[in-house]
Amino acid sequence: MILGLALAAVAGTAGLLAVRWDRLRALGRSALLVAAALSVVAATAVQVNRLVQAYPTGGTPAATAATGSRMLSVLVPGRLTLGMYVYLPAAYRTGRGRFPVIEALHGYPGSPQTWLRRLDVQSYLDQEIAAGRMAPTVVLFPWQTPRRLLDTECTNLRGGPQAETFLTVDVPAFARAHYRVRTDRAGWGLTGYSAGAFCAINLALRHPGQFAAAASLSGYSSPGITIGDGSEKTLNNPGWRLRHLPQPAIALWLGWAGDDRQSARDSRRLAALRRPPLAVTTAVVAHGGHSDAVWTRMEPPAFDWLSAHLARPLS
Amino acid sequence: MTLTGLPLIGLVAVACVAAGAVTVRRWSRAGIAARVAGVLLLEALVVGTAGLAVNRHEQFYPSWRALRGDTGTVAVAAPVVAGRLDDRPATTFRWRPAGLAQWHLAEPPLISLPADYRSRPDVEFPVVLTFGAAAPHVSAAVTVTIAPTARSVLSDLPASLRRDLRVTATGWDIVGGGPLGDALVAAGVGTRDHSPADLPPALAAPLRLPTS
Repeated sequence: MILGLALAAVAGTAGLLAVRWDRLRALGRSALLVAAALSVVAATAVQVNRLVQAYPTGGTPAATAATGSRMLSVLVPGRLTLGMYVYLPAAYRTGRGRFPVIEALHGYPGSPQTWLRRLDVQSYLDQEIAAGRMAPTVVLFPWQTPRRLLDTECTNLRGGPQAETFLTVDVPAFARAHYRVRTDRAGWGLTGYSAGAFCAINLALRHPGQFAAAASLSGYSSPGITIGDGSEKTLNNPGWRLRHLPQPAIALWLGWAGDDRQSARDSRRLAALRRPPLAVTTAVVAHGGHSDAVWTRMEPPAFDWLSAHLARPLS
Repeated sequence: MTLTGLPLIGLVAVACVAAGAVTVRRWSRAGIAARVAGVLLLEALVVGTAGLAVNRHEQFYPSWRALRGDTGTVAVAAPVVAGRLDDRPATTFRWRPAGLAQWHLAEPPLISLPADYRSRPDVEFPVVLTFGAAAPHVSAAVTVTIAPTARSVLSDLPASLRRDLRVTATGWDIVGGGPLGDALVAAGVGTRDHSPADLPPALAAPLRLPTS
């Protein structure tokens, strides 16, 4: 719809240029040229946004699926007050039991809706649970930044948003208070794609008392931003952590595409640095770059692996 | 011509400049349709050049097949293979595998199968491995009770158990056993002294991708 309007503006300004040019003075011609350029920039921005969903439009996606699973939209109060989607498996409707939890983190630029719309996560979760390859699990899709174009990499930025605290304190507290979920570390895991994959690895290494496992879909060994206290080179750098700190007893799944050079290099480096008791499983797709196609290919195996490394639902 | 190579970016950039030059030079003589076509072509080529340059820098789509969404890989589930003892009628029994003598145990391990072991032939069950005292019955898990001696060596017990029963390769709960249990934990088979409620679920064979 919006893309259609933007393309109509591109065509309209081109038409006006062609028809009105000869009848306009310099000022009018300049204005038309600027309008044409702006329409092209706008159409490009709309299409890029369709791909990454940084500014999702079109209301709440999903809700209740035919399979019985639900996707709820909630607001999580805390140090940051941000939105979150909550996947409740079909088995949640029985009204019994406490379920394991996965926090699924988005890339940058991106949003929780990238998981829902581009990566079709509700269908994949339904499919893996129905096939018995994954236990019924509650999956949380929190925002990681209060400003769409501020890249937090899920860290506590010096003088900025405290994303790490939000994701490791406020979001778990909200989930425990509102849903029938397991409250122990054995039942909590992390995943993410791209920057969210870095987040999953980094948060799991930093909080092994809260998370038992993390699955990285095309992640990195360093955050690639400036945090403000230099910790992007040390305590918020998984490569540095694995080299210089005792490794925690958690399990990591590192997935990458063979032609995604930086993620492949970083993931291989992390896998090579592994020492017990850290456990690492690698997963490689041949090619596909740094794209939705790679992440949708990785979703089912990553969720299956996570479920096998998290505690079971409590009856 | 590769998607991220300079030749393609150069070609599109040259086409962009050429389209711009022709559009400007012919503008006064061109009809409306030609003018519109020239403007749209120029705009498309500007966006194309910028897009190719950004993609070359960021490597989102390193190749044409990546752009098509072709990953060249499918995740596959290795089928769950029935254990050699899956047709055994008893749910509690002494386990006497071929390599038993090499383990130097005081007596053969005591195995107890969960109630749903036979009704779910498509799943693998996690294991509670207990040294000494008999393991309590655990739902959706195979329990194995070991009576070790000072000479016991159990490094190939997990693989042997996987041949005889449908059990997982990891995620076991290792209870007691001192250095023998520690060795199994160090081998990545499981964790120590967890509550049975912390065991992973019994699951069908997972979808897997190739490892590096």
